[in-house]
Amino acid sequence: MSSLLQNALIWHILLGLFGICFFVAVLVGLTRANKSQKFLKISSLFGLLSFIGSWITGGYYYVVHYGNVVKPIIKEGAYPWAHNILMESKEHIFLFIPFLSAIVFLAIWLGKGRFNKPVGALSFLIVIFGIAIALMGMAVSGAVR
Amino acid sequence: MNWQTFLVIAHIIGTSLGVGGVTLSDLYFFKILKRGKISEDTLGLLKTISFAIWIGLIILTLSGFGFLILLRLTKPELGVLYSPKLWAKLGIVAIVLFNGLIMHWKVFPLLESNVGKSLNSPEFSKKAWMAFTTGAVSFVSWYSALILGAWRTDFSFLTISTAYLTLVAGAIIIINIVGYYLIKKSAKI
Repeated sequence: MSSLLQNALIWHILLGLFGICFFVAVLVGLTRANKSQKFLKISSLFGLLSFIGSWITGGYYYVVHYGNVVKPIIKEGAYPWAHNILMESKEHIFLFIPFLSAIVFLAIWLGKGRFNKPVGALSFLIVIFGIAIALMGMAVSGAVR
Repeated sequence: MNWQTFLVIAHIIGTSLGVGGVTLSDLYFFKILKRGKISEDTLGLLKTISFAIWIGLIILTLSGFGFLILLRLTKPELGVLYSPKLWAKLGIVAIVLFNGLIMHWKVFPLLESNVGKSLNSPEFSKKAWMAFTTGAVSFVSWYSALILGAWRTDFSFLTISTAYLTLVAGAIIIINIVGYYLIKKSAKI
């Protein structure tokens, strides 16, 4: 694997984790009695940027390396379901996480605190999806032996 | 310093912040119950400790995934990613995360609404189980993660989950009994 691909994989994982952390911060911010709009705005902005970054780096790794090199190894190995089920699910869920993040970001930046409940529910969904995708990614990585 | 050493140090710092924070916050919480009242300062202190625990959780998670990236890139043949202990630790960290969110969503507002009041009120007593239960889950989970990280023996996922859930259930029962006893006792003082 080239160093560019290695970096793409590393940043895909790290930015995805940062994204989850920032949306956890949005959730924690929403639980406060005195909600700081500034804190919510910054957390949602960085959360969105992190997921977009993770999307681009992960997409590059997937298109250039995963499909040609990793996928055949997994499909011929002991855990073909790692690709057939987990990677297929991961791909599809991952496609709309940045869109969900963008909705939360816009609702916080333009909503002026009017949409706290839906923003909280969507952020929770993003965190759940983010964790599920991280775990699926680990299981897929573990299948490459 | 190589990446392995850096990650080990970060992982230890994250765990220390979490385990230390959760121990301190539980001790302070029992002190509050013994006193029967919560002050603005004590609540502020609990929030500061909670912030340190969140930072610990972030450092722990990032360094943990750092280890996985390092192994994936250098020794994929080890198959460490399918270790039952690793998945048990990940499960526990996820529980710590959601438990922390419940604490911020339910427990801190409960404490905030009772600042300066007697904790032996029907309103507080009715909801105090949430504080005791999340405190117990947090305490057992952080210590379990620490023990699993340090214990070099391999256990099956079922063994680890059973032991963990038994400890969580035991801690929830004990902390609820002790907590309600302290609330009642504080009213007599």
